[in-house]
Amino acid sequence: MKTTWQRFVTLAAAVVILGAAAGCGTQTSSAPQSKGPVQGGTLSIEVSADPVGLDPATTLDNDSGYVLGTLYDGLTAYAPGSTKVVPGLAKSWQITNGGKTYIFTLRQGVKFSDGTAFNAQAVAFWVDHLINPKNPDYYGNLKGAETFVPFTFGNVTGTQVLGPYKIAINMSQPNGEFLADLAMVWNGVTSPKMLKTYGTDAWQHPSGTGPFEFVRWVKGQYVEVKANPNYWGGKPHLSEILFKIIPDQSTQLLSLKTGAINILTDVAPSEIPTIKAAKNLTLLAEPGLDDNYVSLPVQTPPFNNPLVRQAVNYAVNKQAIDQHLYGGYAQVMNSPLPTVAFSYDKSIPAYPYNLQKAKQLMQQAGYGKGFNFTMDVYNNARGYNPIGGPELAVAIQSDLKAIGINLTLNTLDPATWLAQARSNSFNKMSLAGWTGDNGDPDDMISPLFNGNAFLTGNFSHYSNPTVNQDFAKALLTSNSAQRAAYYVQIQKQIMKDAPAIFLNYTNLMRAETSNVHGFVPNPTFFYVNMNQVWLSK
Amino acid sequence: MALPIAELQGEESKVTSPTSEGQRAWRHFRRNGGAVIALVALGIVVLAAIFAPWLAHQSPYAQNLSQALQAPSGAHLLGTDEYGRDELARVLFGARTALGTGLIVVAISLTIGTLWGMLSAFYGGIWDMVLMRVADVFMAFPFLLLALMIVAALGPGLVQAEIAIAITYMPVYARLVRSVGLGLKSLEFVQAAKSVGARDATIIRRHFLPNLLPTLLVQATLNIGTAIIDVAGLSFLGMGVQPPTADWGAMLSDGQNFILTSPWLVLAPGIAILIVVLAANLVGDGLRDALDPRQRHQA
Amino acid sequence: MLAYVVRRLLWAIPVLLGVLIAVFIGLHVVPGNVAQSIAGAHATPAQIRLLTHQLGLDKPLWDQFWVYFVQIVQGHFGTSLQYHNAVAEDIGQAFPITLQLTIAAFIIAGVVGVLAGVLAAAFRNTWLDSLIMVFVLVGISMPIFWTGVMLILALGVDFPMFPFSSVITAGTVLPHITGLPLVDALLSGNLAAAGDAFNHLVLPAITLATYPLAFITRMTRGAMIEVLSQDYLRTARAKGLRERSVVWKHALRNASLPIVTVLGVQVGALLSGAVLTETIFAIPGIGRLMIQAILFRDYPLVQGIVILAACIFVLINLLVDLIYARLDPRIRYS
Repeated sequence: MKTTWQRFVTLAAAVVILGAAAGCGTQTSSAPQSKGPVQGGTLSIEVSADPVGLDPATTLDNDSGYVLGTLYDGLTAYAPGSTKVVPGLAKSWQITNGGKTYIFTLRQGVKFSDGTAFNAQAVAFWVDHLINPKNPDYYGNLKGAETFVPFTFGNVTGTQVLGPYKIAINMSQPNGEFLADLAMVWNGVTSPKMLKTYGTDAWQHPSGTGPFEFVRWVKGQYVEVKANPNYWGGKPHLSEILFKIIPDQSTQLLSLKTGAINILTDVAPSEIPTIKAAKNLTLLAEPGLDDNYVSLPVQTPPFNNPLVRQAVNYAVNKQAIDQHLYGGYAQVMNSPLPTVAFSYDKSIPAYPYNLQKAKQLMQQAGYGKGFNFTMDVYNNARGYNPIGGPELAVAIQSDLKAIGINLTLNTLDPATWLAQARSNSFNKMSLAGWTGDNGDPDDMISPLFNGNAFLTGNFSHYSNPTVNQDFAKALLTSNSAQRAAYYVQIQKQIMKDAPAIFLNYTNLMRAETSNVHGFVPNPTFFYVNMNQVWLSK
Repeated sequence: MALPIAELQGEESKVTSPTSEGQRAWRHFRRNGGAVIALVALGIVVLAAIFAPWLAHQSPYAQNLSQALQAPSGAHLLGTDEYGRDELARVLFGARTALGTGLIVVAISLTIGTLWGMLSAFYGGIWDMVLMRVADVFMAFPFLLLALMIVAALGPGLVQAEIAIAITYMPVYARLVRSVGLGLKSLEFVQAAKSVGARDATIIRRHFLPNLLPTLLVQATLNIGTAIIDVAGLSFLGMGVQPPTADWGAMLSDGQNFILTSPWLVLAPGIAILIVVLAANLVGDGLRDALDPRQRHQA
Repeated sequence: MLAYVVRRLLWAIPVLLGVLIAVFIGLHVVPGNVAQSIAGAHATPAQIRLLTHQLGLDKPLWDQFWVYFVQIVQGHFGTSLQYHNAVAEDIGQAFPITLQLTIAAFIIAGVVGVLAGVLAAAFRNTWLDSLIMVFVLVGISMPIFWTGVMLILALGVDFPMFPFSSVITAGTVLPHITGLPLVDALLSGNLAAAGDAFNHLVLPAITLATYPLAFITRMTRGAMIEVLSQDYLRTARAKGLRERSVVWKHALRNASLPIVTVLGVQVGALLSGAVLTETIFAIPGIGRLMIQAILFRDYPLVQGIVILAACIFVLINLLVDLIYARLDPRIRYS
């Protein structure tokens, strides 16, 4: 240790000389609190990688989504800090024709950042470029792009312009989550001029109606956006936002501490002690749209026996895992739906930690002596599991040992893990999870527990006919109360069938420096409503 | 982070009986204070690795979440990590991983690299050309890129990382052995052995290997250290040692998240790496001095 | 001489071809589907199939290689699969940034390393020698990511003297002349930006220089000790030449051959070190591009980077050999 420090002293001396030659160093600012919102200032937000693109129709990665949320508006929007759907670019809407036609009344006097007027014609063109391959500016012309368009617009057949600010969107069959879909950052309305001018290059020339306008994107370094002074939802307090790209976790945290960034997007539980200990930092945590669980291969012995599946649910001490591995910022799952999703039923009991009961169930199932099994583990941190796969897997491994199950952990890099789990022949346990896109239950759990989703997220190969039917019915209904009833049944049945070890809903965590005010993280993960944020000087 | 290449000059002229040479080198090595201390330090680490289960009071894998991130104390001499695991136990067991890594990487790369270089030197001609071009191809990749690609193909993990690093070292040994081998081949006694009809295998065993030994020994000792550092680099990128394996490199990169609140989590494995790699370097230097005839009279 | 250079460059062709084949096969046997990576965790099988087809990944491997090979011969490196940029454009942006970092580190390592090595040799077996060698050994024995984070902690956070992420303060706009931020700032006469770029360069360059610095010091010391004990230098001393002149003029010139070899080898090592350094210091260079590309299975980008790296390797080896010839009149290439 002594040599280490000697070395630093010498290095420091060398560096002082070099630094003096250069003339200046960095500056940090600390400021007194002021009362009301202050106008102006640049907010720096950490993102861990470059966005893939800034045209919402041709991107799907989080890093793009963070920026998109500031540049674009959807026809609908999320209320601050929630997934509740509220009017966006559409002031109001009516659903007719048995849920197959949506008539939107649009906001007037709104302009895209390139000066184009926002109106029914613009929306008609936007929808057409998403559904019509013959449109010369069809979004699919950009080959190899990731997209959410088929998910939202798969059933959409066309539009009818009913007036300068009135438009109908028609579908071949009802889609109960359509309004929630439209609020997603992936469905931000893009300027027709931008699409026509730039074609397949539109991804780097964004133009929306959002609270901020695109300034520049320096690859690998940052994306800069500036306030839209005419924003229909109220002029932003900030004058600029910089999305700074910092891949390394330690560097991110240290940048936050020195104020080089104001908001840390990805907070790992291991960073919580440091954030809490720092006077100038605030931890923001709220329930997220996240499921974090272990899939059990329900068609493979011994997990084809429901008793064994229940036993493992009792055997894992979820409370302790939440408390210690996730620093208390997680909640035990009592339903496959996260708490902030529509129709979540909090009355369903969770599987409590009960070793006795677990052992007893194992006896009853004829596995009193236990068995050996393999669990696939992704080796990175994921949105729904910020501590990372291996760390969680180790805790589960040691808990299951107590009921005689010897778990072999098969650690894989994320690309391989996903490719292997998504196959009809997959028959191992696997860490699994999902982050919802729009707060709708169909988006949240149908890919995980619907019998038709083996190749998407249903690694358990769970297929209960009743549940499958309820999923289908719920999606064709646009009546909320009726939909909720279906999803409550689904939640109860899945908990009972236990195709998974239901671990926890992890919190959405961000951290900010103390001069940031008015920032409310949205459960969908993205930076929306950012016009309300301000920086004290 | 490259491979130290043992100096080669003068090796060609040294043709002596290996046994007496070994004794002489050992006498010389013993006089080198730093190297002897380093050898003793390595010995202690080896002992710690062997007796880790008896030295550590706790299992390095037993999580006790209520004891997470405890500062060093009587119960936990080096504190605990984020899962409440005893840091001392993990450092001790980490010695096994570290030494194992060093030895396995060196064993694989040395064996294959030596064969490779020997074939090239001994058979020459088209063999030599093809084998050396293949070595060029290997060396044309930045070693970390090559290692990352190999790990991507094999999946992340300790053994995979060891294999990947070993593959990146192989061509270095191949070249080293080839250059020593070429020098030896032209010498009279080898020519003589050939002319009386000695089999290739015999010549290689009797004459090549003993004379290669000093060079290889030096390079191998140095590579034990570089292998530990390089595998740690892969672990830092998430492509090396996977939890819960106790490994210094992985502990170091995990511990960085706690650097402001629990600095012992990076100090302990950091110092451990420093000691082992430093010792390997000092021993390697000592061996080179002892085995290199030109340096003999300069000390 | 010219014939020699041409012959060496021709020799590089089979090596480059070998590299190309190796990386192509290597990448395509790696498990994990790139279409899957692009489409994301929420994609349906139909979307993945569509992407696979769009990218031509459903064709036989041989066809894919041939398409790629023809492209390369025509000078096209394809388009990145993860991003929509042309590979050449991505590499063109990232490479100068790595080059700047590498040159800075190389200057630090070369200058300080040779100086320290010569000093250690000249004052052999004194406290100065021991001190230098302790630093050297510690430098070789520390993982680079660890050195980097400790430097950030010491000089970026505790005594905040230098910024520790990116290459220049966000918002600074520089004309694209060479692509090296510091050079572009100087060329455009923007001294404030040049100072800023310099400050951003300090910590990563020191981090990256640590290992080669230690290594060069050690080799220089060894080579100098060797030369200093030669008879002709003893004669020179006996003739009354001043020690300083003996060391710096005569000995160093003769010790320069092994030193140049080491410098050459270390340039290659710097490229590897750049991967870790760039990750820690959020520098958008080739190293970081490479990690991203490998993790994403972005074949065209990985292939492009590998080809670039192989070319650099070939050129540096050639350069080292040519410098040899300059330094040692006994070596003649023809």
